[in-house]
Amino acid sequence: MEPGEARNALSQLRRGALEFCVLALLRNGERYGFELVRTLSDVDGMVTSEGTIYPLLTRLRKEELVTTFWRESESGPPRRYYRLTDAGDRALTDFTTEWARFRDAVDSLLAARRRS
Amino acid sequence: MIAMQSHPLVEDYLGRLEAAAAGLPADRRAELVADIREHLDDALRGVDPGDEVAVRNAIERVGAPEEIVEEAAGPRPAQPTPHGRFEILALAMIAVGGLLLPVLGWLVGAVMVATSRVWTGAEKLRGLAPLLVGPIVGAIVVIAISAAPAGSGHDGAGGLGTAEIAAIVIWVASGLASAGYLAARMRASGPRGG
Repeated sequence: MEPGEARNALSQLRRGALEFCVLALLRNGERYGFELVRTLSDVDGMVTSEGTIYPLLTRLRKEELVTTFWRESESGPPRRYYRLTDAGDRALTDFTTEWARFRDAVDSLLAARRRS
Repeated sequence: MIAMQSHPLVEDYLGRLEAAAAGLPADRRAELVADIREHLDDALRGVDPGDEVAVRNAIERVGAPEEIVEEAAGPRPAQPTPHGRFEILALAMIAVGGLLLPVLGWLVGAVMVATSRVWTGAEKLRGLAPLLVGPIVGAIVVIAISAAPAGSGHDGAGGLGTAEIAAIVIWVASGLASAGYLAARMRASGPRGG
């Protein structure tokens, strides 16, 4: 396998998992865009371009997994906040269960010893 | 107060983002640019506007406009799978192969269909069923007509009897039925993509 193939596979996986990471960050209450994006981007290996998270947030709002509202900020113009909906909460719960199964399955296969 | 202007480097970046997003619907584009503007304003809050390195770093973290727009545009529609020559040949063998090479032609066609990845397993089963059932029905017809007393179909002079003609018609029809069904499924599943 080319090294590029592993990178491509991981980039696809990351893309799929990212939206649930966003939902997970909203589990304990609403956050505004910058706060959300910086938190994700500070996790090593999660996001390469902060800007790409905003289209993802738009998509999540269209799918009604999050809602948005504006709130006054103490230092500057009002900010757009994101909040988890009930549907978003259910999607997150489902993903959390399935992800654990998937992760364990992949780990067990990857950890299987090579027969010599 | 006039609309708030961000740092010149930020304005320059947002201009490039807006240009890159020209293909998006106007409301999506406006929202995207507003989101990124708000993000950069937050990122640069408290940063000295003269600190050009800090401003450039913040922009760098946001990423290339093209990359962001690509994400906003969503996944590209899947490329339709070209119907390979292999599948066309397989269908031709099933449709008429049996006439050119009795039995063997159909057999080759059936094996080709079975190994193709264009059809699902169920489609292959349904598609090849007439080809399997046809010869059996044909054989039964031949036996039934031959066994009938005073077979009026036998002219005895070496021409084809009713039984043989019926069998050939059934065999040809079953080959055409198989090929027709598989061709229809091939077209239906084409744009599904890989």
